[in-house]
Amino acid sequence: MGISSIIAVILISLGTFFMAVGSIGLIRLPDFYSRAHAQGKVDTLALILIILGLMVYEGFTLNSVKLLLIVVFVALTNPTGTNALTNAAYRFGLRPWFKRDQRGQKKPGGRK
Amino acid sequence: MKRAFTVHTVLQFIFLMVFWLLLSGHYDLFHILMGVVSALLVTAMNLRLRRFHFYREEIQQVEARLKRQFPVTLRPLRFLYYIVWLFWQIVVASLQVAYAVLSPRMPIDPSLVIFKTRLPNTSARVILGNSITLTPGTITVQLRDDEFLVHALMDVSASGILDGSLPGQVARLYEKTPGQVVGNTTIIRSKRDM
Amino acid sequence: MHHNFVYFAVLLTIIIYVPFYRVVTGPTLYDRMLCAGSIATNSMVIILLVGFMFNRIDMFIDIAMAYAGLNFIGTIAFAKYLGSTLKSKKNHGN
Repeated sequence: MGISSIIAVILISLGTFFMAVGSIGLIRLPDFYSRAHAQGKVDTLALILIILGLMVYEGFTLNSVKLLLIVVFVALTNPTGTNALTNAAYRFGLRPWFKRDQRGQKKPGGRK
Repeated sequence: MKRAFTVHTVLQFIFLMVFWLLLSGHYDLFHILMGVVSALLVTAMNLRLRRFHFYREEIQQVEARLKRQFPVTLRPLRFLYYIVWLFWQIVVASLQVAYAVLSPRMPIDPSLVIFKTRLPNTSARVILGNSITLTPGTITVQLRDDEFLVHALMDVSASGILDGSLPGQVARLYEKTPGQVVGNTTIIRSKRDM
Repeated sequence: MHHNFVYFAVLLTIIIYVPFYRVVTGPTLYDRMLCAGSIATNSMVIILLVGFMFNRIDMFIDIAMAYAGLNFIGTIAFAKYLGSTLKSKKNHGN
């Protein structure tokens, strides 16, 4: 195992960790808008880290240039997709969850 | 206007051709000829689409700004710096969300922030919208002309926008010394405020 | 080295089930679509890892690219459709 393989494994492990965190965030966070945070940021970083690891492992070939192309594409489109979804939800009338509304109530949740 | 259209058509063809050469690993005459035919076909299909303007007011606005000599070209070195800076911001943002998700008490306090910006052109606004989604604790919900509606996850996370550091970075992509970029901010913290 | 990728692929496949729970039980349609996007990102990574395991990364990269494009277009189409047609605030989601 060379040094590049070790760097690749470290990067891919970090990416897998962030992917797991993003998925747990989708379960734990209280409403749609907070979940969009988990999807829009953490998943993008996880994908970038894993693909960077694969690029380090692959070395400088045509394939790693294609992998870089995927990174650029996803970094551009993932926030745009999240924005499209939140915008649609806002126009639909879904209201965010606020901490201050929960003072007297027992049950939190993404209700309107 | 006519000349810009031609230049853009040629640029589009070159871009498509580079994309083809990148994706196909074969560099013999037959495959490159096929690439030329495909790129020409896509460019021809796009010609009519590009003459059609979906947002007429937007285009008029852009033209008006062009005549008043607003800066429209990116500064390349600044853009490279911005990409590196943005990647660092993404790392910070993910660590912040990871902390919020993994700590048992979940220290989140969402709020909506409405603010107006004074950015030089439309692509700057698009860059700012995408960057807000990627930087710590904030996502863009709505973008209407100059007005942004932003959802902030934690109490501290909106501060990067309110003190104007992120919009300032975006404005600095186009001009050296931008003035005050952010104004008219409103913060919503409960359903009664909406 | 290729053999180590199989562990990551298995781990990511287990992680897919977490957002899948939200797709099944999510309170609103938007939650379901958001988590479907998360699953798509995850499976894109798995496709790339499988490509490295089979030594055919040149082929699997193109599949992953098409997957990324389809994911984006699907999300945009969904948001466009639901943002413009559904005006009623009752009987949907919640």
